[in-house]
Amino acid sequence: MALGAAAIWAARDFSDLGGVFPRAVGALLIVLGALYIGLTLAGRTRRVAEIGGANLRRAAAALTLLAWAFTLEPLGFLASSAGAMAALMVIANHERWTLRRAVVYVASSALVLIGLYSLFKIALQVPLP
Amino acid sequence: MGSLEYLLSALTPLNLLLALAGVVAGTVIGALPGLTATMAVAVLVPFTFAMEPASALIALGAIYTGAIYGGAYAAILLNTPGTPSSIATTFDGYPMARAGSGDLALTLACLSSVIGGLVGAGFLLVLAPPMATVALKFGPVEYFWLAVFGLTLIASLGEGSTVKGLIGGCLGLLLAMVGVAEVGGDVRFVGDSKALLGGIDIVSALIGLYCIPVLIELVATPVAHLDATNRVASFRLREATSILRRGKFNLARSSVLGTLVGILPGAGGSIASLVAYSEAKRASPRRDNFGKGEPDGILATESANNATVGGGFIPTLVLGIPGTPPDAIILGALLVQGIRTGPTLFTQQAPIVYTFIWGLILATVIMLPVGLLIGRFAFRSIVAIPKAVLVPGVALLTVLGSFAVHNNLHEVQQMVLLGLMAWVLGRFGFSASPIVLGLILGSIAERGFVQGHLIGGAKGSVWGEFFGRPISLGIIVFILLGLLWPWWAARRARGTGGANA
Repeated sequence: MALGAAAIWAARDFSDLGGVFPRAVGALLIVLGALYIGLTLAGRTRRVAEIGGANLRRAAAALTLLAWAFTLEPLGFLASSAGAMAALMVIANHERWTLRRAVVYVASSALVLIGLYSLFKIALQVPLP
Repeated sequence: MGSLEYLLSALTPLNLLLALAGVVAGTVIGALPGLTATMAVAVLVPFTFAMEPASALIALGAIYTGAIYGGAYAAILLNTPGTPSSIATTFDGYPMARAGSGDLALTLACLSSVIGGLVGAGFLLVLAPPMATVALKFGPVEYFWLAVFGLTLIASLGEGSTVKGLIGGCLGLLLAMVGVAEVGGDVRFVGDSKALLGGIDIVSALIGLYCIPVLIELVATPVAHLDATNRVASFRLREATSILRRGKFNLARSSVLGTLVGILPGAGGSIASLVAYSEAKRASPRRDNFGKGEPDGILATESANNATVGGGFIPTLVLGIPGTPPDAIILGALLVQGIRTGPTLFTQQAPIVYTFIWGLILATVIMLPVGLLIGRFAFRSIVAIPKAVLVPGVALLTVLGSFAVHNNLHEVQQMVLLGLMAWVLGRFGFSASPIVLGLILGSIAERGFVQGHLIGGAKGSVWGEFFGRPISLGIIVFILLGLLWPWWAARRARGTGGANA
């Protein structure tokens, strides 16, 4: 409902043609939001099932992906990607770290990174940062 | 029309080799999350400049058809669409894989893609010029009503909550309005950010909305994402053909729908597969199983999205208007080859065109053994790769894929931010599909509405413009049927249940 109201408020500065859809969608959001609140209070909505798993790992993965997206330019593609992939590797691994496992995982990821970097930067001439 | 000599021209060793290579390359690229069919065609098009025109077209058509099919691998095995066209394949493909039937799902996807591709190519062969004439009759108002029809599907994609689905759809519509308005030039919802002036890129948004939540959930638990005990995948062809026989009407309807949507410029495989999925769910006696691993869902989506390949070539070749984004790339390649598109292409350059169409048909047939073999390899590989290697690899592809669309870092940031938003919304029961549908259809709906309004105003009757055109009226009837049918069917079921009690 707040989002719908914000859309209608923002649309007051638009031209007639440019404002029709934002106002219509904003009004629809307000109506649907009110409807959902009403249904929830009446006990007619389904409760979303709780999901298991480690929220800390989820948060760490989310932060890693965000940091990756915003450090591509300052650090360059290779450095930021190497760091982010290493972080995701640690976050995604739930088994005990052994030397062999570490070597295999790091080597595999490095191969993927270098292979795709070469393909895009050199073969396809994509101007990676 | 398509005489024996053109078929024989397509059967030369070079053309067959190009068809095979194109299907393999397209399938592999399409299978990688973050890389789209458009990218597959764009990346490989320079290799065709030195070829004969018919051979170049065969290669590009084979790459395109392989890439559209290849998107099913990631959709089924990773729950992330390999290409936008395979979004709807995740709905039932991944649940089937989780239940231990990933190999069956891959086989169904392959067979359905081949059948859909052949139907689309058949329409191209037989009906190209007249169907292109019909496509020309679609004006802004028809596109508006078509977008509204697509938006009504949101209700059926809400995964149990119609209201949440509609809220998600409205969110997608708002996202589609970010940036400079196409008609009027208003700068909307950008704040102080110059990066948002270009709006939200659809490909980056699709990658983020589907792939990022999956990656976040993959790291959360130690359980393997697919059962690794069933490592010896089989084709399960007998089972698959039995399912195909049972779902033959679904296959036929979805293939035709995919072809028709492909003919409409700007539509594309993602819309075709969502429309076909929704119609299959509506018509199925097992509609409650859709979204939980119903094989008919895969039949619908994969046949529809591959049918758009042939369908999209109809306006591309006859009118010079690309039916789908990869067709735009192919149109550029045709210009480099010196081929002028238009109605006379089918008469004055018939050898090139009909050799290409037969080549496309052959490439689609070749996709059957190639797809089954690559699918088996993909199944075994994906199941065997530990999450600690899979997650960073897929994440890298999403970053590369969203950057490579326009070489724009802001789109990578949009991709991640939208993905995180989708993950948060997912925790509250809002699925990504309605948001995606709103995002794709929002600009089509608004453009059609505003242009229709302007044209109607100039003609002196806005109501007549929106409600007085035959094709528009036909689409409105479909919209009403789509909205009222579930209510009427439920009422009839209650009446039958009462009579039997």
